[in-house]
Amino acid sequence: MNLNAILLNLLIFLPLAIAVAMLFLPNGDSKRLQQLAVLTGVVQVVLAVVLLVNWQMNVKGYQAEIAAPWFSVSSGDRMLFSAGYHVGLDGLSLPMVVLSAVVMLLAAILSAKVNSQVKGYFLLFQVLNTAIMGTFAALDMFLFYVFFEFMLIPMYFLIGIWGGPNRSYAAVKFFLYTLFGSILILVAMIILYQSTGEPGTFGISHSFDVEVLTGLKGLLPGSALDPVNPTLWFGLRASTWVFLLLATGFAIKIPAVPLHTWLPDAHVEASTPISVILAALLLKTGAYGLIRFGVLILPTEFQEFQFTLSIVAVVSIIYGSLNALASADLKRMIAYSSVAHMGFVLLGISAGNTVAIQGAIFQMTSHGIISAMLFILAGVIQDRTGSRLIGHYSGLYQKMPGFTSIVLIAFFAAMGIPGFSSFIGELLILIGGFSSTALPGTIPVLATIGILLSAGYLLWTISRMIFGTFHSKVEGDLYDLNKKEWTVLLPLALLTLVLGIYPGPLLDVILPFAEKFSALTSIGASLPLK
Amino acid sequence: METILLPLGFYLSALLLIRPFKMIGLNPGDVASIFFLGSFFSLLLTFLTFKGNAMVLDLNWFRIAGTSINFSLSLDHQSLPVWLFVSLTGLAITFWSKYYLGKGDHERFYLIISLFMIAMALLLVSANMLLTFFAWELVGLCSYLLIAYNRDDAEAIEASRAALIINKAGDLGFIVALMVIYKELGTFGLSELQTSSGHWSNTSMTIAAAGLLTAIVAKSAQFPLHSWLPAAMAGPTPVSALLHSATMVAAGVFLLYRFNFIFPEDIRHLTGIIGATTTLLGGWNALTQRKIKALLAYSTLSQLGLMVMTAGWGNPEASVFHLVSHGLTKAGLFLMAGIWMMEAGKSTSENELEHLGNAGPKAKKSSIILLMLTLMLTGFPLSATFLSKEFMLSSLPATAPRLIFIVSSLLTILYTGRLLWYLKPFSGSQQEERFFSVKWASPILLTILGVWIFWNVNPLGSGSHLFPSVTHHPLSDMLPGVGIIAGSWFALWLLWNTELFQTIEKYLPELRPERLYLPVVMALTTALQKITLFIDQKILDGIANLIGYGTVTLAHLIGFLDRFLVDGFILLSGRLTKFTGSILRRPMNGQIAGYLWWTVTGLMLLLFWQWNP
Repeated sequence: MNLNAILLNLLIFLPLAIAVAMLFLPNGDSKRLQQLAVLTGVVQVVLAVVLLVNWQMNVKGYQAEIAAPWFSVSSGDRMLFSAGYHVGLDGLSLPMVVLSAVVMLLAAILSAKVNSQVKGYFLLFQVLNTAIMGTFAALDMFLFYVFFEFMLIPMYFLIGIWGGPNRSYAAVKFFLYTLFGSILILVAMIILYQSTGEPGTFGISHSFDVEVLTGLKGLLPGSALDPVNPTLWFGLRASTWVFLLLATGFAIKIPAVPLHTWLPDAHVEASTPISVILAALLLKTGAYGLIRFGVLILPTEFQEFQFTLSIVAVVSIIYGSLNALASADLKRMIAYSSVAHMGFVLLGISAGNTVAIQGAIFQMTSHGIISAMLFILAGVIQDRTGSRLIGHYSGLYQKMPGFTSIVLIAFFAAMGIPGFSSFIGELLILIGGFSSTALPGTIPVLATIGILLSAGYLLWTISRMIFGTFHSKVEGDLYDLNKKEWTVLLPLALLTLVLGIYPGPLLDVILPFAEKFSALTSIGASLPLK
Repeated sequence: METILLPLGFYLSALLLIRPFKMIGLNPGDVASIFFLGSFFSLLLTFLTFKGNAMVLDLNWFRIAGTSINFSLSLDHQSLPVWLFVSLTGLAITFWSKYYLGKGDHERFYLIISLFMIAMALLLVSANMLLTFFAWELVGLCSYLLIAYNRDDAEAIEASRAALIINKAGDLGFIVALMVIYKELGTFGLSELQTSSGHWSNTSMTIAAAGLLTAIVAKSAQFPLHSWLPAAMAGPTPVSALLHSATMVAAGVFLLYRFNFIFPEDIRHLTGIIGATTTLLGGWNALTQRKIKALLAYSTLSQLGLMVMTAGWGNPEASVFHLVSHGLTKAGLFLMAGIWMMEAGKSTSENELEHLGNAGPKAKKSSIILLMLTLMLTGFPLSATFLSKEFMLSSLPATAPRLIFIVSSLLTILYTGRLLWYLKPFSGSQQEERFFSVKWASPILLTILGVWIFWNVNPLGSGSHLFPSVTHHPLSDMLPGVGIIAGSWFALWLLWNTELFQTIEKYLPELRPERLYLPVVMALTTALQKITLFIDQKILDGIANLIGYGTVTLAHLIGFLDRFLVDGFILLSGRLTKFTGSILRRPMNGQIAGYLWWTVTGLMLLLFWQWNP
């Protein structure tokens, strides 16, 4: 077990350990509770930076890896099933883990406003933190699923207890949607479990390890997923069903149209830090899961659905943008813009070649940063007056010059203006999508309309809210950004700028994974070896 | 390498150091001017020692799929003269802005101008198409920020939004071109593109060129994406001078020149047609305008149209020479317009020509400069624009384009004559002003540089030694051009004080293109409305507003669908679950015996089903 692996495990479990310590603090000590959460975040960011510094470029495999047996189920001599504690990072997960550390720290800082049931809030917050880190680091599908599910429950309560007026509707909706997705994934896992394993002296030992599952390396001959003699269910091959189950399950989390309606409600009702986590990280777990545990496990089936996925992506981009254009509520508009931007990620995944995957993962990172900024900014306005309606404000620049400059940066970044990270992400996805042999050229060309639409709603919002003569239809002191808001917004603004001007290092981190991905999903290379 | 980085470094320093210098009490305008001056002189030095060898900087920017996308800059015979021109114009206008903007905190203005200078320079020297696009979009952003510099002005805000949206729409074409080029060649490097341009398929090349042309049409305000440029005049006058007449809008012409090898025959033909339409439409419109900035804006459209037309049908190098010579003159004219407006106390939204006549500056030199600049705009002999216009005209191969060119040039003389007629130079009391001042230095500099001698020793020549592809013509070829221009001016001079001029002037605004086609459009729409009136009132409204509000309506429609249909489906399934739940709940009667019964039955069923001996 090397140093990096220790750091990674520390990164994952530190919040949980702090949560245990929090149990001994009195409920009323809200300041100390929040300080502990911020401290966790700071340590996590330091750990993430150390991991980043220690990162070896051009390495194809996993780094900071640790694989240990976790538990196994056996019947007599027959080992039925073993779950491994297998975590590690590669070009896909490292950017996500670093992003998560940064976003969780900022969310902890923003959580200072919580004033009821503070202890419960921070306990759930810490559990959520561990779950998110674990989701991105797990290399065993069982372990992944455990972490993935563990995000759901804290999130449900964090929306449902500390949210807005319609919070319980939004929380239940969020819960049911994602639970539904999880069940689909669970069913797929059961079929995968039946069909893979390693023949040993005492019979077949099943496992969910990523090494066994990726490209169905551990496929059992004669099982339901065996391509030689495929099992048909309702006229479709079993492997097709598994891919569809996984893709649908993860698509809910991304979210792809038409499985997205939980998102605007959840965002509108959630408090600012929770919105930030939701947009910046939870959506990424969907895309991440689709790549690691959907596409990479069943690359052949993925190839059959590349075109379909790309259609879903383009529909998400255009539909999400149009909905954003129609939204009167600032937060709802940003939520729909997330649907559109995650549509770009899905487009990159569906294109499947190296450039597009590099672009997709870059866009995931970039959207994490930008959507966090956007939701914090929406929160700033909500804090001042309680209203997020765009039509309630005009000429905000006069009262809030600092706010105005950050809004301009965030909006231009979301628009894909060069110099900001999403310019690179979207451009790579588009040129990758166009050069992909699996997609017709019209698909990425259609997707470019999304860029124009995003300029449409974002510029319109600037014209209406920020510029013009000042007036506000709601009561409240519209003071400029305070020190805490600057602290959380400035690093994000800098990050999107740095990544937009010098994307080289991040793209280099992603490159080995993207090459592995495109090799696995290009035609012929994906046939199981056994 | 440092020859490229030094001028860029000056701009970057301006961007980064304006704020710190302001803190120690230096005026942002002065700081920007000094850095821009440094940049200009370092470029001038490079220019004077330039031997024709390209200076290249090639750094790895990022890698995609094994291909290195390079941050490559190339200072060569194409980019150097244009950059020198941009640098000088930028310097002159930035310096003059101090006079125009007056007292107050204008730090933001100079910051954006510095960013613009970086973006514009990158656009010119970039030798990688992706980097070109990067700079191209950034230039559009700066234009947006500068038009909306006065954030209270509703008209300017609206204009800035229209400008960026139209530019972004054009940029979709650029993205398509990038996608095609990457698919075909897997690289964006200019030199790789040049060497392999013969190898890719005809359709791909046509698509890429058409995409690029769309972006150029939007940025250089060509028909039919031209409407944003006249609207952009709502911005501050220095911005109109720098971005919307001299440099940014000319970027499209430069791109036509730089990436000329990509354009196949049919797309070049299309370019010519677009340019010809724009130049005639622009000239016609300029003739009918009542506001000084609108007149100059439409004149810019017309001149840009000439350049684009020549780039399509003739020699793009001639277009670039006209870009430079016209840019200097037009920037000077905008500054003069600004001075006139300042003297008359008019803002950018109220610059009607008739109010400016007797209110202009009293100094004699103002009249001389104005006269020189207007003559230069029309391509009067002894000016740089004469050389560039001759160069363009002689490169046009066919009669029809030449005819259009001459018509457009005549229109230029007519609307410029109107401008002079309104502004009434050499009338009223003349007094002397200090010769060197912030107000006058830039217009004087721009006027002097428009004189032929800086470009070609022969005042009746064609082209300039800066642009070597020119072929030399005998003097007799030049005489018709000289004759037409001088003759038209003479005719104008004869008509100057007659009733005829005033009568024509009264009716000119009635001849605006939109005055002619709007009634037709209106009549058609009304007819359509009458037809559809009894079908549906709402559809009718939709048609009337279709162009403007189509997208928004669609968005609202989809928002509705989202809330009621997609979400409704989800709610329905929720209800269904509740319903099935209520049925399934019935066996749950709280009787332990009942539960046991269910459990045992279930287990039995499961066992039998899974039994697999």
